[in-house]
Amino acid sequence: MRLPLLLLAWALLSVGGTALAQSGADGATAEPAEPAVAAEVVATTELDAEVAEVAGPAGTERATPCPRWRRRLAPVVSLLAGPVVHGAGALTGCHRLAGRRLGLTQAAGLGALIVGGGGLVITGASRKTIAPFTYFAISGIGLFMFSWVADLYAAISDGQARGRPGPNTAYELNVGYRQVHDPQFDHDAFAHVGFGAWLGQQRLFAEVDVALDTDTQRGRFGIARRLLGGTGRGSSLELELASTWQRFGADGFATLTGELSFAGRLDLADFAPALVGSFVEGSLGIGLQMVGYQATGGGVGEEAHALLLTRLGYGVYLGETGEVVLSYDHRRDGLEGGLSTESVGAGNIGFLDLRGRGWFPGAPRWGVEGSITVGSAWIVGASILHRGSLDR
Amino acid sequence: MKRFLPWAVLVAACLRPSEGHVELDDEVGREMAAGSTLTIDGGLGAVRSLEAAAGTVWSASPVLAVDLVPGATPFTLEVRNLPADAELVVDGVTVAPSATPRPTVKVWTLDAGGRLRIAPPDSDTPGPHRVAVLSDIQSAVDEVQDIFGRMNQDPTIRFVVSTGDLTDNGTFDELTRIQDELELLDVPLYSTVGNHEVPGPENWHELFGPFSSYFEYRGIAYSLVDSSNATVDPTELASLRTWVDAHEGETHLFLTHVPIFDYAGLRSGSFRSRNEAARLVNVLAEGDVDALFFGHVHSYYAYGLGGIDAYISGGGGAIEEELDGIGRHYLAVDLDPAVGIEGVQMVRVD
Repeated sequence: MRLPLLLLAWALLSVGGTALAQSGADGATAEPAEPAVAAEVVATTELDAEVAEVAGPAGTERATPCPRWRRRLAPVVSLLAGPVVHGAGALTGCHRLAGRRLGLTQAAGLGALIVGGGGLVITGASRKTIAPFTYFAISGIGLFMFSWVADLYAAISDGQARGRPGPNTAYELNVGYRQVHDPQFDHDAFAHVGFGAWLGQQRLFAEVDVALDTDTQRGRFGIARRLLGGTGRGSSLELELASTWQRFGADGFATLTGELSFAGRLDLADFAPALVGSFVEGSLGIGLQMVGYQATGGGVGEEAHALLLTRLGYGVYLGETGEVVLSYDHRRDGLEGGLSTESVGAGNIGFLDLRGRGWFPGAPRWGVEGSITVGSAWIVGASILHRGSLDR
Repeated sequence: MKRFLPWAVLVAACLRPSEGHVELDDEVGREMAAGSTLTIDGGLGAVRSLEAAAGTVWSASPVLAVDLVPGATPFTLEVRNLPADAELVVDGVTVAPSATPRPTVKVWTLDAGGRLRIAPPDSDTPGPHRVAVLSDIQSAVDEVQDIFGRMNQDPTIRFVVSTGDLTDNGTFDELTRIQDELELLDVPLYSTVGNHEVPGPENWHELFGPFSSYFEYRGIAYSLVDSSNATVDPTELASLRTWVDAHEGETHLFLTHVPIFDYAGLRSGSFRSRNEAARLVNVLAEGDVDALFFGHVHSYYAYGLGGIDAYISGGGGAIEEELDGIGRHYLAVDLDPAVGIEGVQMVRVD
């Protein structure tokens, strides 16, 4: 069973690589996107004329001039027709490669959703097949949603976005505050400290949340090995091993979770130049949560519950100094819990997270991060960031 | 400020999706109409109709204590979903039923109101008895009759308890239909609400009564708790704490629809927050609850949570979990206050 999951993870996270290879077959080059987009920017900004110039014989998806009216119509088409035909906005804006690939991604998403959802229904959510079918279903929804949002992004940005992945640095420190609103628990205020460091292809990370008003603490640490991609914040694939510890002293329990997952980011400039400045993230994995209860005194490890891990996100680079990511995470074992739906789907949904970070242009080693997380609790966070030198 | 109000309401609804159920439970079992007043202790029933000289109740417990002030006499009281041997006692006098159209339906004609107790004569005497657990009928309402028939063959079953999902969507018609089918049972069925009843909470309130309930029968405590939104509302949790604390050391069964933790963690057909789940298990373990019964997953699993025996049983006929060899079933649970739980047996129907 592990092999198909690995392949699925690979497929999800390497759509762009596949697409890039295809573009070579189509006659376009597989050059890094940046020069190509730069050429396109020149082409459109130089012209006040009715028609944008062809960006170049290679390295861009616009092979023919694109009338201004089409570029202006693209966002409208994306909004109206895009929900049904993903890529319609990009195609209207003459981004044929993006349009075609987004359409294919939509089809792949629907296919995965049918396989996953159908499998769940046919097997009655059998525990023996739940993992692959759930992975397929969530990945299908993710691909479907991604192709929809990306089409809107392509139509609006018209390939002109200037956001680029920034560098990773030797280390990064995150100190902040988390305001938690959870009617189930008394904790409200948390102090947060996070730390990450690169050691070659390995990334070490740790974070701690300590409640300031109750006896609740949470810690997480882990190591990730980069399997594909450089050490920057562009396209990459990592194998991540992590552990999370929680203690709810006033509520009489503690948990310890171990997890293994593949996590990756795809810089969408690698998928289609029109999507430059945006990216998708995803992870697939598995975990084991151990629980101990004060009432029984058995300690953590008293009982164990498996955990299926899936996360999907779509983000936008803010220049080279920041980024914003909206993600869905299927796990329900954290402070945020899982969303409520007041429907027959209650209990089967994870949480949403909107997170942005940016570095000060005048003091590039200092930055800020803000987040809003919505599950069975709301968490609003703000942090100050500090990082190592940028000469890596 | 007003423009933020809808958002505030939405946020609150997201975080406490079952708060409305708790509010409805505050009102259940009380009715005033046409000069009559009928109040059921603990909200353990739905007052289906009330007129000056007649009233109809759907019982949510084998033992009812009722305050009745009739608008006119003689007053005809019909109570549905009762044990066959239930008696009505008013001011120490047992009133013979004027009609018993079904074993679980009784009609009494009363010359005056007062404090009524409706229960089997042995209900306060601790002693061994058997109950059945049946959940997750959903769309299989046309096939549930053979399950009821199988239960009727076992005269030792005193009543059925359910964790919900008796219907597919909780519509008024669906709930009415399953109540009609329940009249084929020779014993009553007491249920909390499942996630498939969530779309129509008002219908459940009107037809079945409480979302959460607590009753005692022959020395055994039964807590049926609403987890239809994969959470137990904080107000409901406070009630549960009092029930649990009151019976620490005694035999106590806890029933709720959604498993606190799913046997199969990867599937996680369970609470929306694992931290809330762990906290609830700790509360139940602190109170020495003897067994946990869940539905929602359409199979059968026996495992343990916090040292408490836990059972998932969703064998009422809803889409079955495949590859497990279980199929439709119910549980027969033998109880003895002196011993605790004597045994839990899966009874296959297919």
